[in-house]
Amino acid sequence: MSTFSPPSPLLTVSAPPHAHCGRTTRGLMAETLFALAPAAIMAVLVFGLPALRVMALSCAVAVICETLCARAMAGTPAVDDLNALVIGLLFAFLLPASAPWWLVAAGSATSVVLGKMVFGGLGGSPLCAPLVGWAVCKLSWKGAMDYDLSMLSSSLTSPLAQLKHLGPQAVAGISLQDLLLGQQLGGLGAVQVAALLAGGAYLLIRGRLRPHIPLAFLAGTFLTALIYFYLDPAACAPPLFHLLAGGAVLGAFFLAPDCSSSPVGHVPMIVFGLLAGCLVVVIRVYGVYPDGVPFAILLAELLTPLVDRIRPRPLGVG
Amino acid sequence: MEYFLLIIAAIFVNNIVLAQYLGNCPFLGCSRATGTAVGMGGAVIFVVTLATAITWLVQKRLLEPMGLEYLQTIAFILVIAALVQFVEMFLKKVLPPLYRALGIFLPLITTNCAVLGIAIICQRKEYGLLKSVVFAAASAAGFMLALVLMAAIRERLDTARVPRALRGMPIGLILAGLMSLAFFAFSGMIA
Repeated sequence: MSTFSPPSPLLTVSAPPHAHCGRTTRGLMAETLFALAPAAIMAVLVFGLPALRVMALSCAVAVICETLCARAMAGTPAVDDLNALVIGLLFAFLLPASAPWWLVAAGSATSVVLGKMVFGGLGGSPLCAPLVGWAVCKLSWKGAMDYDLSMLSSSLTSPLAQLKHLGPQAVAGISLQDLLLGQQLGGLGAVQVAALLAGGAYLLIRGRLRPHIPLAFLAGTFLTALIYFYLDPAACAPPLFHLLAGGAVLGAFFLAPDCSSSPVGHVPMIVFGLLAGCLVVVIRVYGVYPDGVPFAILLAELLTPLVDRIRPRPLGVG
Repeated sequence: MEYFLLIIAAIFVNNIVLAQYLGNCPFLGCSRATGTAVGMGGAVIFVVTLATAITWLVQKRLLEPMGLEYLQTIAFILVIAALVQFVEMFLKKVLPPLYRALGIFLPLITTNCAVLGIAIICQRKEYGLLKSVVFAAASAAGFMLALVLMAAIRERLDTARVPRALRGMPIGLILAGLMSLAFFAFSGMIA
């Protein structure tokens, strides 16, 4: 017979701290959505209603999947923390605006279920959820995920695909201003660079995003591209082009700093950002995929637990 | 430069676990703790390098001159099994804690298809002795890399609220699949 009686619910006291600063997951997600809004609006302005269709469908599927999973998994917290909306929107940002409905639905469902819910929901996932969905779609439906092939009617082109297939001379004429304003083919939200920079700056100023990972990511991309450019200016695109083309800015401010899958220490965050940024250019230069950003972040996230072992030595030990 | 590319290709592009799907048994079974994973990885590097060198000699000096190539598989398994026994006795004597931590998985290296796989890949690709040994060591290092990454992530997952139905092996398999997805980044980098 047990000598201990179960604790009485009346005497249960929650763990400290008892005073709350008011910051919640829901609040953080709401601010992230607010920071993503300019890019979403720009996407609709540049790509028209198809972009809105993709974003709406992706968000709806993400929320429905999360609700169904939470129902099936007893003990999972409620789904009103808006995280599913953020995942759905970020996944939509990586798709071409012409993505068929089944691609959007399958990818969004994969992001939420395989990227987040199987690991127990918010905070458990070792990989950034939207990127899991992107990787599955990219490898399963290459044609539908290819920005140039799926957007034949558009007059824009994908600068990274041109760099990959035609060489740096083909992209020498592209002005940085066009890249900033989203006049390029790519993920429908990922290419709205100016809007994403504004959103990222908003999160940084509001203190909702620590600057280590975004800045280290951009620095890693820039420095690696600079090294390649310095070694052979004729064979490589200039570093600023690598920063502004494709999804580097989206990756730096919104994908790489994913709460559950990025490191927490100061030094680990910087190492993680530099590594991911460096891998972006390495994959763009050597890999078969035009844009290395999603894969680079996934690879860096595999290293997160190891990088996180870099810790300050505890006082009085060793 | 040729060897540098060979090593990079063996570790990342054609990672023995995440791109060729060999050696999944210890990859899933021995990735609960980072310490064990490092030990297992070290043991595999040692066994694979030695086994590839010896099987190369067996193939070129024994089987081919006598026209017994059809005995390749069985001869290689025999060599590998004997080697593993040797490593096991060695570890039991020199590093008992590691020996206990590896437990059943050390004898299982015998049937680790990565060991046999690497030895046979070297023969298929007609590598010379030095190239075979370098390739084998790099492939085994790739195995160790995958194993250590997996173990570190799984240690972290111990604190996550993984649904009961998926705890343990199922989530390990899902994770292995996702890691393999990430390693597709390297595909096609080096032919």
